[in-house]
Amino acid sequence: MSSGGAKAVKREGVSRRGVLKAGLLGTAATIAGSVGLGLRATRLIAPPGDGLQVLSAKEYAVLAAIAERICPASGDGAPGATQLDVARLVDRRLATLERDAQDGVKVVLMIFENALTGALFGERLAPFTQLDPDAQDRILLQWRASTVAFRRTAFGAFNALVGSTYYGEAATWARIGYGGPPSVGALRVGFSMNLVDYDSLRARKG
Amino acid sequence: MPIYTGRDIKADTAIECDVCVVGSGAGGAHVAARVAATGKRVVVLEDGGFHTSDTFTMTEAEMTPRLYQERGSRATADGSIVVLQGRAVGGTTVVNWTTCFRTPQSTLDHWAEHHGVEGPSTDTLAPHWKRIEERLHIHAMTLEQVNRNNMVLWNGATKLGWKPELMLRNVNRCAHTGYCGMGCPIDAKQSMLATMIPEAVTYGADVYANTWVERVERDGRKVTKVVGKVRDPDSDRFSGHTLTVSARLVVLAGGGINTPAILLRSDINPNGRAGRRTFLHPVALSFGVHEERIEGFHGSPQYVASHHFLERGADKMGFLLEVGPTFPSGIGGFSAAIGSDKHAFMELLPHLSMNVPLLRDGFDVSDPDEGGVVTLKANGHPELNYKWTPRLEEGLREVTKRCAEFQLAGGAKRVVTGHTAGRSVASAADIAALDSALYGPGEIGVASAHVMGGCAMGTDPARAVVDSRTLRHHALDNLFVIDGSVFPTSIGVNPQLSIYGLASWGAEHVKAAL
Repeated sequence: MSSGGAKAVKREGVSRRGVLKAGLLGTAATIAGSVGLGLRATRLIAPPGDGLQVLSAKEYAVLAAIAERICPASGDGAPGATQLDVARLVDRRLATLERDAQDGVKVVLMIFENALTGALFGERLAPFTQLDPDAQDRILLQWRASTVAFRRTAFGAFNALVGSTYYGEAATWARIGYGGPPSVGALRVGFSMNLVDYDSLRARKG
Repeated sequence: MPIYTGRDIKADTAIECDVCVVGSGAGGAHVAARVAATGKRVVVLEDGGFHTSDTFTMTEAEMTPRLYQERGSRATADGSIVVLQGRAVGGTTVVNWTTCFRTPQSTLDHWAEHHGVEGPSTDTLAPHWKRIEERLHIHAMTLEQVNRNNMVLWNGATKLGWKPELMLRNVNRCAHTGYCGMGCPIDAKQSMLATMIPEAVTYGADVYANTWVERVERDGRKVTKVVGKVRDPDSDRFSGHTLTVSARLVVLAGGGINTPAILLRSDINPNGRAGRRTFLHPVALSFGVHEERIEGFHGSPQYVASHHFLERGADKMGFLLEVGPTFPSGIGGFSAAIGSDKHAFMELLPHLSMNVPLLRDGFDVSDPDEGGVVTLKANGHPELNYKWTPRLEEGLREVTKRCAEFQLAGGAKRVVTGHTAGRSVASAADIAALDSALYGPGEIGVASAHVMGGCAMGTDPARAVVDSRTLRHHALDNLFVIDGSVFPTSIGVNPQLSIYGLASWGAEHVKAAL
């Protein structure tokens, strides 16, 4: 075992105790107002015209707010996540997953949004969607660097969903110097000698 | 005999055969073809769809949900390791990067010494590897073919004396476009979809796509039925119909995570070892930033590897140095930068080279429960809890440093590590400073494309799930497990040829049992 590895384990242990301590102090300090904090409203946005498949209006608003901070519109021409309907696209992606995976994302979104959760960690007294953009960035970075593994991996999940969806859109490619895939049709003509006759293997032809 | 999809199954259906193979990837396809060639009736059940090369659009957003487990969202239970595993007729071979290595001698020796493995050895597997290498056009790349992304590893490792090697790939008339991970649109990749599955069908096997095997039923020491739930191929949801197969022999070949899950759902776990010791070849991604254009999205994903650090002693995790392609959706999701920092990083895309070193997990002889444990969620689907150990963290630290070293030696101006907080490395001092970086779950991005183990083979029924002399389940006389789940450790190199060889060898035992 390396000394570095041992240090890492110790750090995790200290972190967990620190979190517990902070949580207890936070609870004592905020207990009177906790119900009110927990109930503070999410700033809603208009749902997509074709509706939502998995997310509630609240969850959609939280995801859209996160997405716009991870991939914001920028002055030099980058479209924002809102402009590319990233939250709607993620909702569609989630619709293809098993129910338990959908539920996991929904729960974590609402934990992230909740002002009480933020207050317990001394971060904020308002839901994420009610914060200004700078404060939202600060919260995301706090979750990214959190001593609590759950918060780090939750950030990782948001980031992966948003980042992969945003940069999966062809509208983002020219700006980052990616020309997109070559023509599949031309390739298949050029390499027609390779092609397997899959239709002959099908039970139902055509 | 044809390939059926869920659309063809319009009522609850029961069929009989000699051999039912569950899974159509690297293990299942070889077994199916070898057994079907003898004239026996073979039925293959595959959870994924029958996606053919004419539908491979070479776009991540379309192909990832279609061709990967859990629509590309599979990960360890804590979310700390992304697990990329194929799900289609042809299994992971449809989306792998075509890299082929024979099983390292050191891995086989380790299995014999520490896991009681008798049977698979270089002597027994070599004839199978040789035949498969010919069948699948497995051949070495040339230096002239190597793209700039791989040349960084070639040049850097050469300068450092780390002895880079050109790889073997299973391709025929390859266009070197680099989109292997999204399915090969020209059938140059000699995946199971393009080779052994058509061969099995030609010999008379029936393949049922869109069929999720819920369980096997048994009576005493014999499996009596395989029970599958049919999916609608359009929605991927269960159609409400079942497909039940009665077979003389059953071969589980769903791969790591999925095969142990079938055993667990079937309550077949007499020694409690099903699902334990699941390994991932954890990969700590990092990026070289170059002045010139690298265009890691052009050219085949992998041409070059260095085995220099594969053997680091018994107390450390060895690793294989490799690189990987840089497509925008994958990199955009991996980069933990936000806002203008993310945009700025992504603007570097054509100038990035990417490291995907494989950490060799499973070789800690002091830890009988190293790796991950597959359990079942309430809905019966599997979940992998992977143990994050000091040994793993040391491996992640060392591999991150070594990748930075070869990237800088290979021409990178700086290296961006996979740390979520973002670290930039441009000098030897910066590399030394990586010792104080954090390597815990969620502190550094880790991915896996190789799921192995979970149904370990060995001769001891108390320790192993499968008898390594035959690949037959220790507790069931007509149940075989022939896929990467039987590996007692990870392989240490990309595993597809190891699985092919083992499956071809295992098929001989299946045929002998008929």
